[in-house]
Amino acid sequence: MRERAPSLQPPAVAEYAAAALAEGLPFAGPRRRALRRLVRDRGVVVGVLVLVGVGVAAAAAPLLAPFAPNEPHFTATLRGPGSTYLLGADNLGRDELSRLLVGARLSLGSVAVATLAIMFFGVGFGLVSGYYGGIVDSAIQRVVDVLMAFPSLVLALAIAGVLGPSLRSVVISVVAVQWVSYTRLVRGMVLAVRRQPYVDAARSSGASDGWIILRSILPNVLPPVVVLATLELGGVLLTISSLSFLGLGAQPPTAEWGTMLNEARPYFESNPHLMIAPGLAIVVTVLAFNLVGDGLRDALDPRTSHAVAGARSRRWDRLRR
Amino acid sequence: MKGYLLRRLAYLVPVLVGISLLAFGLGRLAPGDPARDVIARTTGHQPTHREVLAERHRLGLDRGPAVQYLSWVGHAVRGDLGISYTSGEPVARAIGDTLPLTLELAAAAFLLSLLLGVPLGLLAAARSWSWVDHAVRTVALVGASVPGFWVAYLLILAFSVHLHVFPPFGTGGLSHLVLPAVTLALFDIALLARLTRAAVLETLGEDHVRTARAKGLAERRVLVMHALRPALIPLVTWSGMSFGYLLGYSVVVETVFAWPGLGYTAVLAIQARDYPFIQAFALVMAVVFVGLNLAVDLLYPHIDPRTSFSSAQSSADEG
Repeated sequence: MRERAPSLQPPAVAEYAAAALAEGLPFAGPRRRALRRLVRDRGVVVGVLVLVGVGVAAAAAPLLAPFAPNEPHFTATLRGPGSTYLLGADNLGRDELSRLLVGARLSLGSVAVATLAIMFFGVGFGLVSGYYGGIVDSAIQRVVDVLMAFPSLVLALAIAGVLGPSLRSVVISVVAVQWVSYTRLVRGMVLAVRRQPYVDAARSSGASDGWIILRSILPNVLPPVVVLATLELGGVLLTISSLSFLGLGAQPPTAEWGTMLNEARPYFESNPHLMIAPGLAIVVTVLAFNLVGDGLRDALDPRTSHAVAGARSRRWDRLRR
Repeated sequence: MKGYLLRRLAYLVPVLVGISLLAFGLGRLAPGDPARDVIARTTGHQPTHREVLAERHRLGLDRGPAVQYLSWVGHAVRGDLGISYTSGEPVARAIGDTLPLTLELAAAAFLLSLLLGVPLGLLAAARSWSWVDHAVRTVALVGASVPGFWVAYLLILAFSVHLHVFPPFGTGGLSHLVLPAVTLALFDIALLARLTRAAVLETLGEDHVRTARAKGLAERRVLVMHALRPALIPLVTWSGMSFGYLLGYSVVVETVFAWPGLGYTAVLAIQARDYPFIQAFALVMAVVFVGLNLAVDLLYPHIDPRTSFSSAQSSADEG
């Protein structure tokens, strides 16, 4: 245990915490250096603090929200921000702050679900594609080519539109479009790892394909995947909000940030606060995601960040093979 | 060159087939019976079983999926994209009317992002780690983090409602184009400023730049002719990426500004569950995107003499 430093000034507390954190970091070697860079990165610290704040607010929304999100107050319709309704009330007299807090759960929850599903399918297909090669690989890669040949929002919009408006359709459409960049990234890395001596060793000691993929290969491809996922979190939130804004996501009266923006459209001139509040919530969250993502990428060794950058550009830079 | 072109075109064939399969498959994802849907919508009453069967036959839905697909593709190749469920008019005509407006908007946003993004990035690189650089990087970070549709409403509030400078909705004249184009360009400006800054910072450290400086060239000339030119290659790669974004996001921007392009029309079609239009929308957007990417690919060797077509191919094979 470290000794307690006497009488710390506030800025010194942060520094002390960072130093203590850097001392007590897990891992050794490059990973520890990366973590050290990370906790010294002001952008990352701010981003993480904001995300923790937003996450706590979302988790404690039922406790924090002054009103029920769908409770109409007919005397308060379209009221501006004030003492009772801190961020004002919407066209049905529902408290904007309460809707924002409760809406955070759906908005952030759908981002989390979508990202986990994207990682699951993207990494899974990438592992299979790279490990088995041959016809399996060709088949998966052709599918990836085709999905990358669509402007991603166009395809997501068409899928969500055909499935019918709901937050579930939006999440499905985002997953269906976005898994491909992870597949390309993971496949490339598996090809590099597959010939490593420790994989041969595992195989010659009688390990099954499944064991080799999950225990020898997966741990090696995971760090760049996590970086890529972090970098893309903001984009996923923006895409889901855009589709919700177009009326394809959560349906009224459900409180969700994109849907709230859609509902605020008729009133944006007379009551801009209804549009500014959920918009700012999205901006702050995406900004925090991007700060953490950028910091994570910079903190990793150049080889990893290069691979991630490649996967990101290749997602757009479709068809160039 | 010719061989490369042929290989590149041959590669397109399976992709185009895949695009058409996926676009066609979208119609089959739809829940419910389209035939019943169409009658209920056009006549306003619940159809009898007999009417449904007749309508199914009329729409060709009683045939096997493979036959339906081949017939759909066969017609699409000849420019027939089916009949809209809502308007009863050929989908191809509606797309022919609206696609030019979308391309106009995307082209304006593309130019705008080049005209603003590249100079901003160059400025940031030239004054790296100064307050200018910090300002540019902050703007770029924020620009990449805001939802475009939200910015659109802020722009309308500021420039249409309060300042009365630009019209908020619709088309007609250059003034109608300004706000939608700025909104659509915003994300690309941010991205391009970051990209240009990083690329120029990299080339600024190279020997030929030091030589250029040593022989006494003006710093501005060094920056533009010696540092920016080699940095053009990532910019060309970026343009391929940006077309996908511009085409996709035009849907959102057009909806906000009631810009009657393909995207806005597609959103209306989605709300009306007009499946032939949705299928055609996905198909046409993907084909346009593939075509633009092909053009970008053929541009590479003209910009960077080091990548001849043969080496472009070999480096591409790794990906």
